[in-house]
Amino acid sequence: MRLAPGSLVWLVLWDLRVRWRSLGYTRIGLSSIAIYAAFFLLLHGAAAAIILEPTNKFHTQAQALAVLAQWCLWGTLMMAMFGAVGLVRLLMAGPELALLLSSPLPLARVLWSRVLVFMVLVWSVNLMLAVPAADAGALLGHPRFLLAYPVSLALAALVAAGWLALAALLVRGLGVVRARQALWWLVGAMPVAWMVLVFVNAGAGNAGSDGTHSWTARAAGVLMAWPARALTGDAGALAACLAVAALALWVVQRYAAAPFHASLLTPDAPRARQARSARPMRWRSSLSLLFLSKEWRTILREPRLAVALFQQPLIALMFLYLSLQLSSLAAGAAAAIAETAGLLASYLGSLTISAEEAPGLLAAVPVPRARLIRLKCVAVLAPVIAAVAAAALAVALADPWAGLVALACGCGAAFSATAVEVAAPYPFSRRSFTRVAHGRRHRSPLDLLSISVMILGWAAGAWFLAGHHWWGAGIVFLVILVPFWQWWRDINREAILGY
Amino acid sequence: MMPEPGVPALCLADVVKRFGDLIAVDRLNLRLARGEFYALLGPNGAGKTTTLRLISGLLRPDAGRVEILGVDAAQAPERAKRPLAFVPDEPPLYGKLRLIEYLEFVAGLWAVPADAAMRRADELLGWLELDAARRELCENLSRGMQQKLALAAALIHDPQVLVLDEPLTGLDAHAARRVKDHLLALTRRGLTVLFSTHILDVAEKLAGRIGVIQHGRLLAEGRLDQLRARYGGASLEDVFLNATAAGS
Ligand SMILES: Nc1ncnc2c1ncn2[C@@H]1O[C@H](COP(=O)(O)OP(=O)(O)OP(=O)(O)O)[C@@H](O)[C@H]1O
Ligand SMILES: [Mg+2]
Repeated sequence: MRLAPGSLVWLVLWDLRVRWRSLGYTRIGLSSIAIYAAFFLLLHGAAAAIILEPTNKFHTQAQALAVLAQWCLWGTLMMAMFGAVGLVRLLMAGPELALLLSSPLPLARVLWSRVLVFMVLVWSVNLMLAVPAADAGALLGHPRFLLAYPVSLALAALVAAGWLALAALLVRGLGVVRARQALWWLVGAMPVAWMVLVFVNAGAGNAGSDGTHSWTARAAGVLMAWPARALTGDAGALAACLAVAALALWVVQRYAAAPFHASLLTPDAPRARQARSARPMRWRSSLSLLFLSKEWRTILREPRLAVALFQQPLIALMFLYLSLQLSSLAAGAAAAIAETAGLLASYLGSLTISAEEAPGLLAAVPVPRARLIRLKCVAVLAPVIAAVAAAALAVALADPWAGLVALACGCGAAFSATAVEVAAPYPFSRRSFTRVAHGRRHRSPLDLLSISVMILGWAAGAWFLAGHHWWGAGIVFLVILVPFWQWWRDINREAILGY
Repeated sequence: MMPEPGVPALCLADVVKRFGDLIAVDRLNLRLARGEFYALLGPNGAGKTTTLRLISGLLRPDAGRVEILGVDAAQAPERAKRPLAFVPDEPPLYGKLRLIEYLEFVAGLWAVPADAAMRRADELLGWLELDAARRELCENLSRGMQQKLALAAALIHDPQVLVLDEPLTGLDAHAARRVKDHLLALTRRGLTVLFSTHILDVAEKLAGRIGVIQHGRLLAEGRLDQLRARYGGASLEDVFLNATAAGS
């Protein structure tokens, strides 16, 4: 089948392809596909195990379906937060759309394609949540589980429409430039909101074993009522879900077009004020300070990067949540600190070392490459270590041993995450996200997995050590090897960064 | 660092660079005396940018030797790069740094003392008419202004060898003229300039010597009158077309 060029589906597919490529996947090796497929199958297995598990508290189909509905919702909500970063880019970035806008395609179609792409991105998290559960359920003889597909799609559509509506309202109320800033702030604040929600929920949830006393649980119950009913095969609820989603999309598409257009015609960054500072700035010549300020300025002034930076601690919430359930808050905090430190260092390391914005400049500099990398490591690690120390101190006030563990494992995680970046850098250009280096494969899923496992290992180690489970130290010891393994795997580490 | 007289400013000896199967630079030999203004011409994909990147240390040659003021770039890269400035075809800027912050960073990389660097920055910004934009983010500059800024950054550490990849891209006629005059003045004071260009007019007016490369090989080299005598034709354009036609 050939799609008509310029048609809606064509635009959507084109957009998705560009997005996929911009992740670095220009060519996918068979081994990568195999690893992804194995991971996907593993998820299916896990879902099947949960559904089959007879001692589990949801051994009836209805209970399993309720859990599935919950997964759909949580997955979509999670993606609503992470995906919102993408939305701001999608809607607000003029240059990316310049080509489409200069073409004779109708604006409405361009907007529709963007909305659909956003919806697909939001939905895609369900590949790890609802989809394995639905497939596993269907294979185990419960075809109703397959209803998770339309239900999760409807939820994704609602979330996409919600963000779009919000963006449109902000543009109307604040003007394009300030709306854009407000959106960034909002997206950046999502993790904090999430954290508050988790704590409120946990605090209230302790009152009743099933969490019925918590207003967040009740709110979630209300939110989920229809999707849950739709999943049980209630045709009316399913139709209502789909209808509401379609309506929301249509309304937003209808009324967001004008703000959308306005936002495209306004440049991405407001021009800097020409306010000349009266006192002449004294220039620094210490290379450490110069790198520290250069790296942090280029990250914090780029909303996309800054927001992603502030979202890193989100994963660590899992540990806090777990610790609240298991009532060992100090151990949970230590683990959360180690996890956050590792994630932050990994993210910052990849931005500063692998995604140097001007490798052509640094290549021509009369400073040894090793020294440049050291300077970058300092720029990354100094603030992360400072934050770890502050957080560890706070933990130490409650539990000195846990504080010490948090400090040690936080530093360990940060150091090893940076070490991976030094050992096996993965050059890509920050601005265009196209790779600058030649002849270097992108990081394989195995690499990515090993890095996650390493950081998780530090967090788990902190958890065990803080709880005086000494074999936890063994885990830490093992993950120390990952940077060395990465270094060994990195076949062409010579001159690939371009500097 | 003052090299002894007679040492060429820039010397490439049998330099080879491969990208997989493609030989981008094929046993290239170049020799530039101090104070020379040398233009590198060639069709698209001839290997000009690759050559300049090899000189600036952005790429490592697969074979052959690069020497800057007599210093082997492979053996003592830092010492070789110190007197060198490179302006790539895409200005190597940081979008989120302000213009003045960028110059501060570059000056720091070459260890220019802060006072001297500030003074030089003022001079360069004034001369390139970037003064009003000094607190602007680099990404907000127009293409021509970015090119000028890259040039200012290259000159801030007072290089002895200047390597430019299509330096006049995006510059308006006034700025282009001023840059050309300034570079000529600097070469009279001993600066060595190697630049690639597609604007044959510029090469004809500025360059003391011209090299034409194709498929990574040096096809022809010499002063304009020498090239004319060898390839015939009245203008550099004729020379270029004849030489590259003969080469392919
Ligand atoms: N990083 C790279 N990886 C693979 N091939 C490359 C790379 N850089 C350059 N090439 C190839 O080397 C050849 C020479 O390229 P180069 O950029 O040096 O040409 P050029 O003379 O500067 O061309 P132009 O006039 O278009 O700027 C081209 O065929 C190009 O495709
Ligand atoms: Mg080129």
